[in-house]
Amino acid sequence: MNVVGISHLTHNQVVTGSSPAGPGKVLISPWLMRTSLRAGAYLVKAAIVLPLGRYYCNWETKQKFGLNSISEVGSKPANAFQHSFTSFVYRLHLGWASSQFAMWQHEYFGGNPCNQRHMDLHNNKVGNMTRYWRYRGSLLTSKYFLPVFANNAFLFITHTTIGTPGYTFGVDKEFDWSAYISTQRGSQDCKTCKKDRKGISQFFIYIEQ
Amino acid sequence: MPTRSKWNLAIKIDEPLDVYVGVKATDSSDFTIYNYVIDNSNGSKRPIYLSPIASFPNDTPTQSTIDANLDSIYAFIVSSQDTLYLDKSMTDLSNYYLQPVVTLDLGTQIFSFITDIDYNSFK
Repeated sequence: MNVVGISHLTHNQVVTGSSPAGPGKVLISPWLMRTSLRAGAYLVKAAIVLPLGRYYCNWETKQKFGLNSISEVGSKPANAFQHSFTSFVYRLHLGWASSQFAMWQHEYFGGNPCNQRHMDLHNNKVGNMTRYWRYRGSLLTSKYFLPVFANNAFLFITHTTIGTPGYTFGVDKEFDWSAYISTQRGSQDCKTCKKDRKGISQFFIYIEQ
Repeated sequence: MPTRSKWNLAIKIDEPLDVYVGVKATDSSDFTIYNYVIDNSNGSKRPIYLSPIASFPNDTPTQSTIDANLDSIYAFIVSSQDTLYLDKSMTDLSNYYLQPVVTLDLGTQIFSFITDIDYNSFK
């Protein structure tokens, strides 16, 4: 019977390091290994989904509302579609927290006046939270069939009721929020907009016809 | 780059008040009444008029703009047994101050005029 000593296994060097994996190596648990790999895969996925999703949602907005350029959305219902559908797509593929963070940081560092900022923040939440399942529709639909979801979102935004002016699920804040144009975060204007929009979570907001 | 401009008038209420504001535009046959109930002292702004149409960029409203669009504006509060009316003309642009002008994404410039109001403004 051959007896193999530890010096053979370690290329004739006796292990004296403090790590049980050997010198220069770190022993990690299977759980940490799995989590690290998943986190890496998630970051790769996010790096693909964020720019592609944004590009696709802007393209859908232009197509559905007949715009020449995405900058034409202004604060119209097309803008509500753009924001809510983008945040919906992000939640669909990256989860709610990532969607909310990606959309939130865009507003936080954007420098918009309070009325614009809170309109966008509100419409983000419509897509990734309050109306998510309306945009999602049947669970039998593959999450890669984005045109189906774009159509659901478009029908929701543009829905009108005969005999009633405006949009069925939209709230026009042009007059109410006309004076809230401070660009300072945390200002009274922003606080008022934030408080005001809490009561209309099921509806989208627009401030230009 | 701005492409057009709009303007609006608003009041800033500096203490808890129950304010009624009546606004009659020149193209309207009747007053539009707004009731604003303020329960804090944070300086809440409330709108009273928004220009119905947009005009060319950098078109800062003047007194003649106000006169052309508004017939009259009044404001009052009900205090125990009396009705107290605002002691300043709300169609006089010199009673307002202009907030910093902002330009929205679509290029619309917003000129927003504010007048401060508290309990002592009513007589």
